[in-house]
Amino acid sequence: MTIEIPEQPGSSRPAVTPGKQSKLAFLWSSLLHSWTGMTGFIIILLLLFLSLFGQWIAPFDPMHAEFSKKLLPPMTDGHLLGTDQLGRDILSRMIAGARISVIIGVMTVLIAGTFGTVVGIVSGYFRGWLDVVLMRIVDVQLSFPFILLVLVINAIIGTGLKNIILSLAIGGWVIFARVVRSEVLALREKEFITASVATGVPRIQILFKHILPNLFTPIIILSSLQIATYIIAEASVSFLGFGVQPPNPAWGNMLSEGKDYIFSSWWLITFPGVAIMITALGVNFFGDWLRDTLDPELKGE
Amino acid sequence: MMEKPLLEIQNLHVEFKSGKEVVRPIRGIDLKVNRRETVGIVGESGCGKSVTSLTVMGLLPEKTGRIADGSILFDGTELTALPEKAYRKIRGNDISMIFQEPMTSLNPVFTIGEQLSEPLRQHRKMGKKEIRETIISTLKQVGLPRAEQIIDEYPHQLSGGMRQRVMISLALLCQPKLMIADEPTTALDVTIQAQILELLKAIRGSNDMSLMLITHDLGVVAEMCDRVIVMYAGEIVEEAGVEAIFDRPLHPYTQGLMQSLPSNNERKGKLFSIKGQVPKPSEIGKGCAFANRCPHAFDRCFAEAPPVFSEAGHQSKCWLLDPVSKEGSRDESSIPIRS
Repeated sequence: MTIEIPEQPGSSRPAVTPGKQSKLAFLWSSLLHSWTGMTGFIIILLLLFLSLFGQWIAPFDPMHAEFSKKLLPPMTDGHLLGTDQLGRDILSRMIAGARISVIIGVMTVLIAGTFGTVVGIVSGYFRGWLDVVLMRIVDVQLSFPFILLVLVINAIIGTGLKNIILSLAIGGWVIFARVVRSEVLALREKEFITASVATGVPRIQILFKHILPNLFTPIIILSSLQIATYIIAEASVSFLGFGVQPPNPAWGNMLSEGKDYIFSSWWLITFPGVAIMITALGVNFFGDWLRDTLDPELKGE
Repeated sequence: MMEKPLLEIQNLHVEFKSGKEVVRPIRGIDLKVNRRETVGIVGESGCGKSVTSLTVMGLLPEKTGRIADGSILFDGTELTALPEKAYRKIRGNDISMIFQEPMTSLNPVFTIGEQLSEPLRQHRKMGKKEIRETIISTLKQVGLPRAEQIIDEYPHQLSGGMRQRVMISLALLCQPKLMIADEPTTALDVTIQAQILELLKAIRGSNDMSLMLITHDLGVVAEMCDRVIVMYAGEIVEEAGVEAIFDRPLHPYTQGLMQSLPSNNERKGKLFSIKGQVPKPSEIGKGCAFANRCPHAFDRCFAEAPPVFSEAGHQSKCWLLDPVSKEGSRDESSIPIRS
């Protein structure tokens, strides 16, 4: 007689026991149960969709100026959200701006995350004088306000999309370095690392086999939360006249250009502002959900 | 003459640097483990049991810990001067180790099979299929049911006792000559403890290996060991066969340990405890390390460290055993025997 239960993803097992195949299924079911997570997820999907297919969806050319149609209020002449001071369609510009925001958020996280992670691992795993030097650099950099630092770097290396990404990454890698280092410090003292050394595995192999996979979850969580920070920072920097330069449509410089008309034509500044807010909120919702879902597992229970 | 012991430690001194201070958790121990023998090392927390095992494994913290003096001879190889690369061939292969905490000894992100394949890939040239078969048969050997499924499960899907069985199979995979078990049952509940001990006993018998059992539990020692080594503050204070130790403990510290055992069949008002604490390595003076807690201590104990007194394989480091001091101040209870 067999009483063995076949291994079916998501079946028969009590509580939360994700195997390899069922991990995605587990995440999905957890997402369905969290309205904030779901909201964030939908907002992120929408953003990605707009940034990928925006140029075919946008009703007008975002760069096309038509002075006879300037400062039209929303819902007139087919301009759903109105036009700006040069007669450009605000909805189309916002869709184009979404693409810039996504590019900046994702690229910055990739660059800052990779660099910071490498620094954090080197610091935490090998320790010694290198750790001391690297962490003092991090300390010094953390003592500057983030936006100020980004502005200074941006002023030095120049404006434009590539440079704003670079400035944000230079300003932002320290967070990754700090978090990753502390995770590595905690991990390397874990008994399973000692147990692995005790079976004769070389230390460098332990770094790749045992430390790195365990860093995956905290890095993903941190990245998702940092994306929102970077998008807001880019908007702030662009608003201040650095970063993405007009006439390119970024939400930040749309705000900047529209602020002169705030009393006469509220739609110039309101819609990009709402877009920034919704994006930041959505990404944060998603990041929070991700942390709540993945973190307890990291701790074992 | 008997065959040469598998592990022979002579005059081992270990030092830890902590800040500017140098701490000596192991101060000159000699011990040997014969082939197919189970040796128990007992003592309070902080007496140097675990450091001894880590030293044998070559797992002292690289930057702060070092072997200051002495030799560790394992199966004809001197371990103290062994380069890291050669050490790796021994770890997990000839000597393996079981840890105290089965809950944290397994990497949470890998399946049991992935983790157990590590020593095999390190030390044996085996194909994937062969590795899997070896793991399954080892899992069966340690008494895990449905080994074919457990191999693909994650650590958090197993209970503490099952995880400890997995850890034992991890230590068994390469059929080591010596297995060091550092408090293998401390973190488990009592019924599981007995099972794990039975398992270790059975494995030691069938695999033709030696077992070094580190514990603070005298019950475990009585159950499992052939020979017992009692450590106190980085020294070996008594060493004897398991029966000799329980029948006639010579060192006052060992006697204290025995008296501290709660008895099964009587209900005492108060449990016995040895007063005081293990002295910090920095507090140990020139006399006997146990003198400040010893109920029988006399002048000489504080002035001079006792040598090893040996009678019929029963060794103890205590002045009470010195025939000279026996006639001296403390003749009324020369060798106190537990009543």
